[in-house]
Amino acid sequence: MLRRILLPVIFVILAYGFWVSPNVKEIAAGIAIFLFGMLFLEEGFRSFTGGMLERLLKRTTDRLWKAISFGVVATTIMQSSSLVSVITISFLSAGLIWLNSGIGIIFGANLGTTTGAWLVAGFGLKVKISAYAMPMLVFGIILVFQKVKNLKGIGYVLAGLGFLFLGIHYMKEGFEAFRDTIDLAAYAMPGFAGLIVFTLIGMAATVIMQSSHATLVLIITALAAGQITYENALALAIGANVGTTITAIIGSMSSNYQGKRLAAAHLIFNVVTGAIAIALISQLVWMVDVISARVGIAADDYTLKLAVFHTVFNVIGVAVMVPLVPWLVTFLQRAIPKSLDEMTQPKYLNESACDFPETLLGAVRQETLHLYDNALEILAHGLNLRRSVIFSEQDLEAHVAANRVVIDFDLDRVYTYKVKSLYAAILDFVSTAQTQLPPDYADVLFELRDACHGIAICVKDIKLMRDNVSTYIASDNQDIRDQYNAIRVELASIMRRIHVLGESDEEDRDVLALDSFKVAADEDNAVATGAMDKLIREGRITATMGTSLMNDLGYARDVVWRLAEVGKALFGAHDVASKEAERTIALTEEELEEIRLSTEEAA
Amino acid sequence: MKTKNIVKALRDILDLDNRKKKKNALEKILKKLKKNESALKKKIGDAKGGKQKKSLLAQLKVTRAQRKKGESSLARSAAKG
Repeated sequence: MLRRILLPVIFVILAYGFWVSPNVKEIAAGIAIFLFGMLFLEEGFRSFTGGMLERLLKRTTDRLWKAISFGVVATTIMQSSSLVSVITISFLSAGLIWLNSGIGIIFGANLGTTTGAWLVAGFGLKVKISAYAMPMLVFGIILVFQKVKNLKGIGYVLAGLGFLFLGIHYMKEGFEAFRDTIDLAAYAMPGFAGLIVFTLIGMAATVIMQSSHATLVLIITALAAGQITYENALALAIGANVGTTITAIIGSMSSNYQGKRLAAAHLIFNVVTGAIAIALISQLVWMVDVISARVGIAADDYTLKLAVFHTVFNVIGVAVMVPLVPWLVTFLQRAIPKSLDEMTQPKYLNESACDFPETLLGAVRQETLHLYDNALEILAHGLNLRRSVIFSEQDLEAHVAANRVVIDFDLDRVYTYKVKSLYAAILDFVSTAQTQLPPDYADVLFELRDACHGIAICVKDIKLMRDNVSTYIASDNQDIRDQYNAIRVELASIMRRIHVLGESDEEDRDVLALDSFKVAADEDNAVATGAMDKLIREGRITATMGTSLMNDLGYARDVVWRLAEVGKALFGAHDVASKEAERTIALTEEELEEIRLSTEEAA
Repeated sequence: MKTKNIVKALRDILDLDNRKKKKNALEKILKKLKKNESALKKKIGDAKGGKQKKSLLAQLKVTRAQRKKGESSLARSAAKG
């Protein structure tokens, strides 16, 4: 609702501004070009994401200090803390990083954003920046038209930087011309009231532009043109720092509880830092003067002093907040809990996951794992086994032989609430997401979708087997009991293997070994070995029992084959090349049949 | 050279990076399979029960078949250049 009203209001204000003064046009165009440059930059960095991104994230954010450094570097390169925050939210929502790491990156982004102030204050206003912008734009746009992905990416980054510089140039020109018509200094307020009012103006400007960097550029250019006082500029910078959280808040609206927690952490950090800066403004001004004098910044060079101020108050903010991270995490977990129906709702699928192919696939993979975890309850209980037993190292044969207790649970209800709804949500998401993926990635997405289908079919197979399993494991007939226990062991073994795969390091996972379960399912069953015929012939089981066993062996075989594929999709290689190599090596049904036949001949 | 062949040659050149990545991934998996094969052979030697030995032998057969398949795929791609 607010967004609907906001846009027409902004349009009316801008139109009025353009009508009143042509200089407003120049400033607004500068901001627009600047933001357009940021869009190009984002597009450029998108081209460099892929398997490398996930690995890089894992390695670079596993400790708080590493996450902070990551945030600093990423924001320095991208020159947008908002962009880094939104990407971090999408990473967190996709389950690629933990909340602590996300908070670290956000802290780092706040430090990294101060480099923007230095760039503009020290470089942007002293050099004819448009001179750099033009060649960058020309080279960048030529590269954008190239077909090679990396060249295209470099092109977007170069053009993005070119537009950023050009935007700065226009804003600067606009403010210089503006100076002759309206004196902003007339609106400057002294004292605490001025501090609060300009903080709010800074917040509002950043909320409208959704970029603290753009606001900062605006402040520095206005300050350089003498439109505002130094004190007002400081207040605007504080406001911009708080206002920048709006992008993360908007970004988190479509994300899950994890994304909302991170956006809240961002808001808390920036509000606390802003409050500290307002409360200690005199001390900070003094500190900035001392530092500026030390590093040789002239007393009247307010643009560079503003950059110093921006850096100092963000460093103080990080120093104050870092020891509070464990408390912050606990607080956020309590304040934004997982919703009660989390088990039936997708946890990882949201719009922010679609930002990059890698996060999209990561989110679908995590959600498929979520579906598998939910289905495992049915698969295990349907065979009258506890998941704790499957996940343990207990001897499965001994366990099933000793346990004949039927687990009482409503299979249909669990299926409807924990599997069906989630499966439908994944299917819905995948059908939309597939249009946004390049062909190589789309294959992986389809493999995950097929895995979800496989999980649902496995649940249905188990449902069909359940009555017989429950009847015959409690039977006094040892022979039929043994046959059904063999099925239980066979299915529990593959579930255990998949669990072990999930627990192992990515490097140690051997998903191809799952093919041997397929061979065993075909080779060792009572029909193939002739054991069933023998049991019927000898009158040890009835023909009715034999019919049930034959049907259930078929279902069990189907479950094993499908679970093997589920295991490969969930825990196979994540990067496209390794995935393709795994597919090349994996044996086809015919090849597995050949192995089975060769074993039979040898026997 | 026909246009079709020139296009193919150019496509091969541009696809070189992907092919190299795939080749490296294939080699990595083959190395892992070889290691698994040795481990399985050792386990078969140590196996006590006939059932366990049978299961390990089946695993070994699958691993061997996968390795063979991977090696021929690698040889095919090497022959293509």
